[in-house]
Amino acid sequence: MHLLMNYAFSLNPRREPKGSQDEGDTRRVEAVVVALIPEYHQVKVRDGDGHLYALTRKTQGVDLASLHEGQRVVCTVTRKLPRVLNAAAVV
Amino acid sequence: MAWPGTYVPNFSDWREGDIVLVHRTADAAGLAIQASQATSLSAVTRAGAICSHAAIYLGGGMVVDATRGAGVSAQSVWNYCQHRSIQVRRLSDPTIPMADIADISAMAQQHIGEPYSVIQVIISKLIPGTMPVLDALYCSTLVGLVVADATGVDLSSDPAHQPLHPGTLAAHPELADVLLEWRHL
Repeated sequence: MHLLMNYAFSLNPRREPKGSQDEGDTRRVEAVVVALIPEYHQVKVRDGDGHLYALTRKTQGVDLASLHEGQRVVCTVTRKLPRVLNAAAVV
Repeated sequence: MAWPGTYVPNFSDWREGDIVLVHRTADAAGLAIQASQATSLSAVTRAGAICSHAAIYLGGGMVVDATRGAGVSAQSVWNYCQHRSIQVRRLSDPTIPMADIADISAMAQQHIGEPYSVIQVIISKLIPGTMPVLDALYCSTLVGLVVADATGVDLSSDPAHQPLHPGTLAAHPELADVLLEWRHL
């Protein structure tokens, strides 16, 4: 039964990305900075499942200029149309 | 320019920041983009493979786009819709603030004059997940970066949407189609 449940979960396309925690309309995601794009005022971060997120001037809690490639960040991300509401660098 | 007595698209239903997608093309680069998308590993990109170009609507019948030769520039959408079919799409999430949506067109205009490069097209097609090369913009790269800058939404978030091609935008599940009509002047 346990194996069957695991198999059923593996078929669920809406399963949570690795390292994310459910918080209702948002979820918490751990990601790594993969690109700094100052010309477009954003920093791209990628989670363990390959999802990309953009940290922008409107993202609360983080100073984009202080981030560097390879740095780990924790983000609060909306479920629909993934959008980072706030982020914090992991020291 | 459209004359009285002719038909024009329903521009009044379009919104600043909408994504304008151009289908079918007669030039070699457009055909190469379509062929590449048709064989993409991404089912989303394959579904939109007929689309060869992406632009951002500014209002007043104008778009900003990145093209070979002109780089990032503003031009009339009339240049596209006279001879080719177009598709207009917008972010489907109603929780995104309208002020952020309005920022899309404003931020797109800030990049007018920046260059376009075929190299960006080749790199993005060969290496999925590649980050944009900023001195070498590609039409859908520009759209993705500007939408993210204005709204925080990364349209290439899902690995199935990487790299972000015009075809990916044409079939992107998080974008909704705007009903297009031709109206008599």
